[in-house]
Amino acid sequence: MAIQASGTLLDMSVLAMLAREDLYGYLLTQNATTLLGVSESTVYPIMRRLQTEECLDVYDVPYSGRNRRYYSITESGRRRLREYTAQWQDFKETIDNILGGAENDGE
Amino acid sequence: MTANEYLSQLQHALRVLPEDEQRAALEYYEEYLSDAGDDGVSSLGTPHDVAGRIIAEYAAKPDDESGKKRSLRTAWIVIGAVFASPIALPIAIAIAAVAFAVVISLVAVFVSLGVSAVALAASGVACIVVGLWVVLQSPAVTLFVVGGGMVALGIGLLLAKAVVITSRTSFRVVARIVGKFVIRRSAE
Repeated sequence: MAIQASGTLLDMSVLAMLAREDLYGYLLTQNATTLLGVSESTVYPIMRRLQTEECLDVYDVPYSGRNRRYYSITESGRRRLREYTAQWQDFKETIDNILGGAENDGE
Repeated sequence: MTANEYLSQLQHALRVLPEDEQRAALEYYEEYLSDAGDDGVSSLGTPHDVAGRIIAEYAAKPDDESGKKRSLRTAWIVIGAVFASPIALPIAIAIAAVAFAVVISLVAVFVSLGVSAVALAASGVACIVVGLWVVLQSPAVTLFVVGGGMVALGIGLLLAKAVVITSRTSFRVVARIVGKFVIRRSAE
């Protein structure tokens, strides 16, 4: 993918995945890497930051003799996701307009 | 590399972070490697790269901290990273010594240039005063001396301004070079 999700877009994507369902670290990382094409090592720092910013909560679930740490979105995480989603809509429209304009010029 | 070897290398690379940050990252990657199975280690990239990203994100943490506090924290992480490495310590001392020497010589050069500029401007002022003093006796001498004084004053002020500007820029450049060097060393 030539266009890479980074920064706020990654935060937004992680929050959106967790808004749908709680996920444990490996699964969340796998989802992010397969869907967004980012490397495995980018995901943990984002989750850690969102966690310290109290957008995410964690809880442990026993799984075959060890624990799996699940991540869930908090209320302030949802609030932030809503803000990002609104900003993303604006941004998307702007880019769409630019692309649409370029197409018309090309005809 | 086994998962345990990977985790111990990761722990080593993360040691500049606060303890709770280290523990959280290690717990996460321990669980990750258990879930990932055999090819987990190879898919992750080197412990060094993984740690680098964690440290970078930690150092850049933007929320509710003033920029000053954040850069202070980044500086501490960099300093910690330099001094945590046994090889880097003598290098850090050498860099500090060189930087100190450079700064001292720059200060000497700029102070002497600054003093010359001030002296030139002061002599210009003196010439103008003396020139005006003799205006009744000899207007021609007044013109000559006051003119010369103004030239000296002008050159002195220009030189002073130039010294201020160049000293500021060169200290900034030195700071940037030293900073870059330190960060690159600590990233190795």
